[in-house]
Amino acid sequence: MSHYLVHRLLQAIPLLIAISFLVFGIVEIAPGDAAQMYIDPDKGTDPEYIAQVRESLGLNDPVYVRYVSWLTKTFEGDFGFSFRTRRPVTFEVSERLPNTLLLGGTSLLISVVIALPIGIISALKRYSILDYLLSTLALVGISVPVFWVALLLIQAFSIQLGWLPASGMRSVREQYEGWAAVKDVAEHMILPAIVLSLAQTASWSRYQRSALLEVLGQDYIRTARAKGLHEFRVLTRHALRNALIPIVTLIGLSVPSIVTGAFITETIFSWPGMGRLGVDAINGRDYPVIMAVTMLSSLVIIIGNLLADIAYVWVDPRIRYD
Amino acid sequence: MKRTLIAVLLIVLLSLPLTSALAQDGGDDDFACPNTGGTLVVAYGTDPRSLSGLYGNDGNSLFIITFMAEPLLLGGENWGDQIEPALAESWDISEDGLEYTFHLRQGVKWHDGEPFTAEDVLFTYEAVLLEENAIDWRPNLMQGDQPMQFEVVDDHTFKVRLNEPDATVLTALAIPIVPKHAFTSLEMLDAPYNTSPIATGPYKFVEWNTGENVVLEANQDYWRGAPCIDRLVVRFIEGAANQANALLAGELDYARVDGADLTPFENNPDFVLATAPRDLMRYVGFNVRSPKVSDPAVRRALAVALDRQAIIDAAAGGYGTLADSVFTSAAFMYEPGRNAQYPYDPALAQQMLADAGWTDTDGDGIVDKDGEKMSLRVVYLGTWSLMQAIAPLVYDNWRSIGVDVVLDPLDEAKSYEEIYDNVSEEKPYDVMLGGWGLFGPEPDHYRNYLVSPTGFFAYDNEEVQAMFEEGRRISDPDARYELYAEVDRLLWEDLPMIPLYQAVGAWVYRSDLNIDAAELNGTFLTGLKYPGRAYFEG
Repeated sequence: MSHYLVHRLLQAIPLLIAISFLVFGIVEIAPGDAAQMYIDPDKGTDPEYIAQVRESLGLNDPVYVRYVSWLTKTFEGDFGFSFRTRRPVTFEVSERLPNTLLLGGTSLLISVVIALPIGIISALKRYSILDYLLSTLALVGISVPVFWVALLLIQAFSIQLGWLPASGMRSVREQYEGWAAVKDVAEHMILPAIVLSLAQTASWSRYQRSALLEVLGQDYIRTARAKGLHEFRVLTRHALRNALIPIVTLIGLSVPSIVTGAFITETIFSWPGMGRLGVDAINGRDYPVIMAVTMLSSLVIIIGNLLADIAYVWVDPRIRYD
Repeated sequence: MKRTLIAVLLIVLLSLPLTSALAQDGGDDDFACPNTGGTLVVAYGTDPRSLSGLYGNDGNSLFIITFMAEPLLLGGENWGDQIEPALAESWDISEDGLEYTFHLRQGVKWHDGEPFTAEDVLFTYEAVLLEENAIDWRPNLMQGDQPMQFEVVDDHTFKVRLNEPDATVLTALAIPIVPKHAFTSLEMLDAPYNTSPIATGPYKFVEWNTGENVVLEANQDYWRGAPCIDRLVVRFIEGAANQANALLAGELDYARVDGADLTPFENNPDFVLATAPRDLMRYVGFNVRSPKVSDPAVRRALAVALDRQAIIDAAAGGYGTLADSVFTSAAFMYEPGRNAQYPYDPALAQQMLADAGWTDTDGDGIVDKDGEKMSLRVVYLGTWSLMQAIAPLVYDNWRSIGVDVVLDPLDEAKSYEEIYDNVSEEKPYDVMLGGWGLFGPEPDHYRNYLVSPTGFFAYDNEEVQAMFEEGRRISDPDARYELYAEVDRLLWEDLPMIPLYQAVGAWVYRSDLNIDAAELNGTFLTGLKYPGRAYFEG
């Protein structure tokens, strides 16, 4: 097992380098560069000034020089400076990553806690009114646009009822400390976390339902029942564990989104996360930040897949990596 | 309002050749806060690029900087619509117009308690001139290839020497001043100052929470008097609709929300909805080198074909004033009604086109002349929702008089390449849609954009260029007023661009927030001329 892990981690290194090469190339091919983003579209800007900016950002070097210098610096742990703000990339990312992890992690947790029971109930009560109701709700959850749900929730819970904050991560009027600060952040997180988990919850509950249904039709379930096992035990010991395998894959695949953030939700709720950072960076052709964000998400995707593989071993003893 | 503005300018300009101290004290010192304390929460788009007044030239940065920093005088680009003293109490101009002596305000302190002196002014201007710093104010301090000369006479007297007389120098010098003692050298591209500024304005920097907000607090030593409100938070909330929601949810006290649905604020006792003209013009610009629109008569016909009021109502939600000049009302010589309005009249437009030789000879519904069809490529920044809204209206209006229109929304990078780079005289479009502004009272600031051969309109009109040249040389205020009034008339006649409307801002704020003395003024990005005088009613 440990052998396997080391092997997989080593494999990740050339993969990450290849990804960095591709992303760097794509940013290079995309029209426009960071210096042009200093142009004020309201007025236009002195071309000489743009040339100065270009020089000061080191954009005049050939692309391979810039790539190699980026690569060597990255191996030394130096991600460079943001072109937009001229602050260290590590600073920009570290300011936002915890916020995104918090929101993304919470919404993932909400999805798991709600989706799995719903899926199980739907499968057990197949074709019942409850099943139809939950299926319809899931369909709605998958179909409605995120921004529309977000605005609806803000209108209802922030503006009409005044129960929950509509924007930001912390109150700016009061400066809370200790538990009050935790409670403050939690209150700010409720609406965006619900919005973010909605579609995920809906689709995972469908997967859980069909996975469980498939397992329930297997021979070993019939055997278990034939042995005279109590239905509850059949379900918990034999069916659920097997039905978890596809869900674990799904969860593993969605782990990266906890890190990369969600642009639309973050914008509507003014959440200071990675999604807004990433989109701002792409619009500004801010390649040190683009590179850091994409490399980080690539790394998390690799780790997420690895975690899913490890989880398989736990849910399904037939799987071994020797 | 307009009259006072002109009067102030006349006073300023009349004294130009007289070598007299002309400007009095900046503010009315008799203001006292009726109530103090509280936190004012305002909002703007996203994280600033820089908090240094020398680098923060994007809206996000400027919005915060105007609460903190100050130039020698107001009235420069981004600094309102009137020339009036700020850090300089008054100034004299030598008889030959080559030497400007600024008398700096005494007793002004930086936010860290150090005294403000002429050395800071010199340091600021030298830093701007240093090429490696890549500061975009640099052209302001250059006359052709020669920089202006600066001299510290004593702690509170500062001299600027010009190589040739330039009547626009006052507004050119309106650059936020930075403290010399906060820097280790003139090179400031990566100075710590850019993220933790020290200035002289009403509010001082406390902290910048990335992605969330910038917190400022009252500068108790402010020379206009300590601000009434203790704490000011600029939150980063993108989009007028999201800001409007935050206002309704009680999470914001003051924001400019034109562009959002404003009905919840109308007749709402909890909020005040106030409007003010902004120093921003939206326009349809011509590439006057394109043979199809090189004839001014054609351009006038296309103007008459546009239902500009409908564009204001549909695209800007009614928040605009029908333009009757290529200059905004902030320009000192602007006079409403000077130019005859181009009325919306499609039949007349068609007649005007026909008079200019453009008729539909082959019956395909598109006018043509000498075998060439009138087909116009209209480009604009496609990610700008306002332009998205304006473009189809222009299309409809022009199509209805037999002008073929090809709308070409460009992504950001492409539009920088095609429209905004300003380096080529060859423009790949016939028409562009855009907006510009924050030029302040000095019409000379329009020059590069309006009459430069490489500008958006490739407009190479020697007569107008010569008039702008003369505008810099002459200092007599009446003559200057007359000269620019003539430029105004001429450009309205020749129409290198069709000004659509001057933007009107809609500010919404809590009804217990009093901004009467703070003066709502749309020509400042913040909307407030004296932010320190806003207060919460008890």
